[in-house]
Order: sequence, then C-alpha cells, then structure tokens
Amino acid sequence: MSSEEKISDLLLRWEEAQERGEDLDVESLCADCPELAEPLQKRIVALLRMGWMTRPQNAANAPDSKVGTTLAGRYRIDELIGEGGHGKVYRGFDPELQRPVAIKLPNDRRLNTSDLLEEARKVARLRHPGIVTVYDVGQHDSEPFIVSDFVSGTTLCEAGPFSPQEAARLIAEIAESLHAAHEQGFVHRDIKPANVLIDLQGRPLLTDFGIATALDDTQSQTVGTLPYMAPEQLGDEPTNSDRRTDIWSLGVVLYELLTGKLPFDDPSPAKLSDQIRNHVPLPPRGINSKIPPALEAVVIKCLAKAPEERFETAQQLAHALRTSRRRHSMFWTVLVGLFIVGIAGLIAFQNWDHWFGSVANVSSSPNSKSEPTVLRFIGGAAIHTPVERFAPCTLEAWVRPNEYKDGCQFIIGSDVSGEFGIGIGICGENLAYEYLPGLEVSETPVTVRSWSHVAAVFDDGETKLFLNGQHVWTGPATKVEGGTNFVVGRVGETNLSDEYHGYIRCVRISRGTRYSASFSPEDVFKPDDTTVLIYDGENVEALDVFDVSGNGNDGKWVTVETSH
Amino acid sequence: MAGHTTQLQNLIDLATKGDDSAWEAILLHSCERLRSLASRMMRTNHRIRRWTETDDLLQNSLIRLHRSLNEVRPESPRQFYGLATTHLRRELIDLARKHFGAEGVGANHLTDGGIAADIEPTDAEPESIEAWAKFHEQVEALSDTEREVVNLLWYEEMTQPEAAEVLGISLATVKRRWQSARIRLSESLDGEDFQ
Repeated sequence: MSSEEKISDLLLRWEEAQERGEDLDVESLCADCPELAEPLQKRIVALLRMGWMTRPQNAANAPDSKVGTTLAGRYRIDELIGEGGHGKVYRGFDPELQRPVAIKLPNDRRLNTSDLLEEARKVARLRHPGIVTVYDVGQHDSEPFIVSDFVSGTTLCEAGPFSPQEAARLIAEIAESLHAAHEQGFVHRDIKPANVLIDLQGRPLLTDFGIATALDDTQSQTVGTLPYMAPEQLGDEPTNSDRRTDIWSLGVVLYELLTGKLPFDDPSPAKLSDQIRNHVPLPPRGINSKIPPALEAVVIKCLAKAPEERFETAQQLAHALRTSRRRHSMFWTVLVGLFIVGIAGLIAFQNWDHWFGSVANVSSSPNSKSEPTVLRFIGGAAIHTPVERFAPCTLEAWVRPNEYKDGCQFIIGSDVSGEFGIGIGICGENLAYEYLPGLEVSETPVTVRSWSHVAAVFDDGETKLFLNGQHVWTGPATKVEGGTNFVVGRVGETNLSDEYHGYIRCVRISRGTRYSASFSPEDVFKPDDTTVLIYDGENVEALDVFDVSGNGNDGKWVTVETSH
Repeated sequence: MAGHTTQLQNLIDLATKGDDSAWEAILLHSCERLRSLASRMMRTNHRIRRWTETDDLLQNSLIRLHRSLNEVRPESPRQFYGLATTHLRRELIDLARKHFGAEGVGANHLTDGGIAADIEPTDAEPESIEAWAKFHEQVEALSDTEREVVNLLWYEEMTQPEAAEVLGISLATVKRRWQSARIRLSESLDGEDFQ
C-alpha cells in the first residue's frame, strides 16, 4: 500500500469516528506510521475547513433555516410572517398551482403529531369564504406542516379600534362562518383575536381550526389562550367542549372589541382560571357607555357560565348581533333608508364574485336567493362523482372560466396518473378534449368571464366538440370502460394539475351521442333516458353535491390531501 | 431525503422509458434544487439582505435550466444527474456573476459596509457571493470522478449509499472520492497545498 492510500484509509477512519461523535487524534491514528502524521494532520485540517459541505444543508443557514427551502418537494418557503405558541407561520409558494400559500410548522411540544395531521385533514374538507382553507397537510423530515390559503391582511389583534356597530358586524360575520363549521361537526376550541384574520377588504376569516384539538389535554391550560377559554374547559374535571364553548370564546372577543379590555384578566393563571369559572365580568356598558344595551345583552348571554344558558348556535348569536344593530340604528335606517338600499345593492353587486356560490356553499348567503347559484372552482378542490368513466358518452356543462392558463383546465376529467382519460377542458384558450391516447385541442377559444355551453361527444367512430351548440372540432374516437370515475373541475381524481378555475352552472353526463350536429343548448339541463347525472349550484349541501337527474349519482367536494 | 431520492429514481426510470409527465416532474425537481441553492447562496451574501430582489434573475435562470434540460432525454439516472448538476452549477455561477459582479446590481450595494465578506471562519460555508461563485467554479475544475460524487452528495443531497447505487460503484469508492474532492476544494479555495 502506498503512503497516499494509507493516508486515505486513516482519514476514512478519522471521519467515521467523527460521524460517531468521537475525536481520534493524529498520534493514535499514526501510532505505527509517525512519518504520515504531518500530511494526515494537514488533510484533517482541509476536511475540517470543508466541514460545512457535510452538514445537512438546512441546518447551515441563519437566521431562519426554513426560508428558501422546499417542503415535501413542493412548497417553497419564502418568509417568516408569524410566530406563536404553536409554531411558526411562513408565507410560501406552491409552484404546482402557482399560488401563494401560508405554511404552518407547528412545533408545540404538547401537540400530538398524528392527531394534528388527522385533524388538519378533516379541516381540509371545510370550505367556507369566512374560514381559511387548508389545502394540504403532511410531514417533512418527521415535522408536521399545514398548508393553507394565504390571506393578505392582519389579524384581529392588530386591527381596530372598532365602533360598537363595527364590532357587532364583525363578530356576526365570524359567528356565521363558525356556524357553518359547527354544522359540519367542527369545534374550534381556540377562538381568539390571533386566530381571526382580517383581509384587505376588512372581511374576517377564522383560521387554525383543529390545532387545539391536537393539544395534549392534560397540559392544555396555557396563559396564551386561557383568557378566551370557557369555564367548562377549566377546573379539575373539564367537560367536553362543544359549539357553545366557541360561543363563549367569541363572546370574550366581542367583549374585548367593545371595551378594549378582557372580561377576566388576572395575570396569575390559577386566579384567572378561578375568575373565568366563578366571577361575573364587569358589564361592558360600565366601561364604554356608547355600547347599545341590546348589544351588551348579547355579550352577557355569550358569557353565561352554564353552556345551556348561552346561545345554542352561532347562527343565533349572529342573528342577535344583527338585530341589536338594527334596533339601535332604527331611526337612522328610516331616515336614510332609500340611500342605504341603493348602496347595499351596489356593495352586494361588487362583492358578488367573492361571496356567491362558495365552493362548499355551506351557509346560505342572504344574497344567494336572488341570483343563480353556481359551483365555484378556486383550485384545491373538485367534485368526485361515483360514475365510472365510459364511452360512448356526452359530457357537457355551462361554464364561466376565470382566465386562460398556460396548460389545460379540465371541466370534466377521468384520467389516472401517468395516462390519459376522457374529459373536456380548455387548453390555453381553446376548447379541448382528452381521450385515452392523448389530447386534442380545437382552434376555438372559450371566452373568459362569460357563460358558454361546452360539450364533448365521444362517439364510436369519432369525438366532436361543441361550443354554444356549434360544432367546432372533430377528432379521433376512444374506447374506455371503468378504471376510474369522472371528476368535475379537475383532469382526474388524483391528478392535481390542470384544475379548472371559474364557475360551472350545471354539468350533465349522458350515455351515447346526445348531439351529432349543431344544436341550441338548453339553459337548464333536464334529465331523460340517457342522462347519467346532472349537478348544479342550487343542489349543494355542505360538501355534498346532489344529482338532480334522479339517478342517485351524488358527488362530493374533495380536496387534495396528499402532497406529491 | 432518502425517500425523495428513491422517488426521483423511479421517475428517471419512467422518463428514460419515454414517460413525459415523469420527465416534467424531474425538471421541476431540478428547478427546485436551483431555487434552494440559489437562495442559500444569496442569503449568505451580506451585501444584500433582501434576496427577493434577485427574483427576476433567478426566474431567468430557472427558465434556462428548464429549457436546456428539456432539450435532452437522459438514458440513465447517472447521465441525468451529470447533465442536471452541470447546468445547475452554470446557472449558479452565472447568477453570482451577473448579480454581484462588476455589472451586477449588487456591486455597489454595500449595506453592511462590506465588512462581513472578508471574514471566513474555518469551517463555515462561503460568506460572500464571490466565494460561492469560486466554490462552484472549483467544483467544475475537479476531476470527472470526484465531481460526479460532489454532484450527487452535495448538489443533489443524496446519501452515500444512494450515490454508490446511481454511479454503480462501491460505497468505499464513493467515500474515497468524496474525501479527496473536499481536500482538493479546500486546497484550491484556500490556496494551500495538502496533497
């Protein structure tokens, strides 16, 4: 063995010892070859200098090693935007869907990771305009993460001050969102100003659903959230939290907004806990005389020690808040009634895009009765049907795409990962269809922000595309039976790419060839012998989309829960 | 990381058999590596705190990387990593030169008074963008066998057994090449002769 090889061997021994946490000195390594001690020592110095190359790359960076890294091979972490008791929140970016996201990395030692992930997966199914949408959950290097909608704005902690009327409006909106969540079986358990985001339009959004559920119960009393906790969550034998627990917490937030003070605020956790369970708070009007008595009564009812004495539902609380405002402003309402009606109409119109036809449509917006309700696709969720793909068939829909995309956006799809399926969509700006061997893109654009009827007829001999009843393209035929189900708003059940963004008013899937030449599309799809399913925006309840064709092929809004 | 690399391995296998979506996923992976390494390089630069200012340049680099990789189809994982890391390194060097070289926007932007760039603790990673550029250039100057190991272990963050598998060599050989590559890099970066 040459001396170079010998040195190399010794260096490997030295390095392996280092990896085990041992520090071998040159003398003992070179006990039988003292002449190699000097060159060995020099090489050790060289390796030490390059030590940074062997350290995990994430750990090498200050001040925040997470920034600039990619989570789960997908989400880019851009900036730390918040840090709290349960962990850190970053602004990030999802390159696959090309949208900013908020990434939570909970690092609270009291959090049970599997409970947290399970809870977050459940929360990901919760869709409401007043609740921050969870897009994805997972683990990266054994650490849990939660990816949700990125809301530009502030938290309720930094917002304000609010007049009593503004506070009542705000809490009423939150209560309505909360009610929608309660109706789907969720209890927040940690409502506080830090968990209410206010977007740039001043709308409140509830966030962090489910995190508190994953807290180790035996240690869940913390100073941070204790002031907002209900009596039943405290004491020697805390009872199960239910929706009325959230109503208490929301009452505390309302009290704080109205008076600028917490109803119970002893700095000692033990005394604070005692106050919450046994003391009556100072009446809000004793602190701020501008609070209308009806509004004060609402606060006091929220803060009843016995859950059964509080509002039974958050909807009732919202109603009481809105009524208290109306009573207070009756005089002014009468005086400027016509003016307000005009303005309200204008506001309702301007906000329409955001509010009506929400994805899950979980709460009925007061506006939604006077306009057609639609299925709204904002990415991250699609409607899974129970219908296995088949051909010959006719796929059709009334659509209003939001924008053109570089790739494709599928209105109805059925592919399986790595293969094609059969479906109809828009590629770039043109109407397109997918069939088992590939993709056919017509030369006819589908107008964005305008309603169009689109149809694809997969016949035995050929496939035809129709736009607003006009035959615009003929391409090859396909044969398919089973393999996967049709999905509305995405190219396939598990394929996250090529999501449709925009509105769909109604969808119909039929057997065989419904159209062979140009036709006049029906405004409202009606079932007949060939119809397999019809969905529309009117017949949606929570996450269930009812098949109105009478065939029982009800669909379900499904979010993508697993990262790629 | 190991799981991710295995997944990538499968994707490369699929891509070599002509699967386009697998290829697209691989390209995405390479772009993410570039983004991550570029952000690391720029963050350690003490002259410019806000590395987001370089976003446009990075975007151009990403597009170029995507384009140059899209022009080829690898025949083996080994060939893919060779190509991908070479392009990746070139983009990093280019990024450093363009942004912080004589013509770069960062050249006259000494927000820290420039003091930090001269201090280089013994085992810390490059502290200036110039030092990073030099590092990448010196990797380029390594022998083919040494560079290949650095590509996989450092640029791709593989484990040593994974690298051995990709290269079809023994783990012991990977260890030896990794060791001699680092010694050579230390030598060329610090101007001392160890071998």
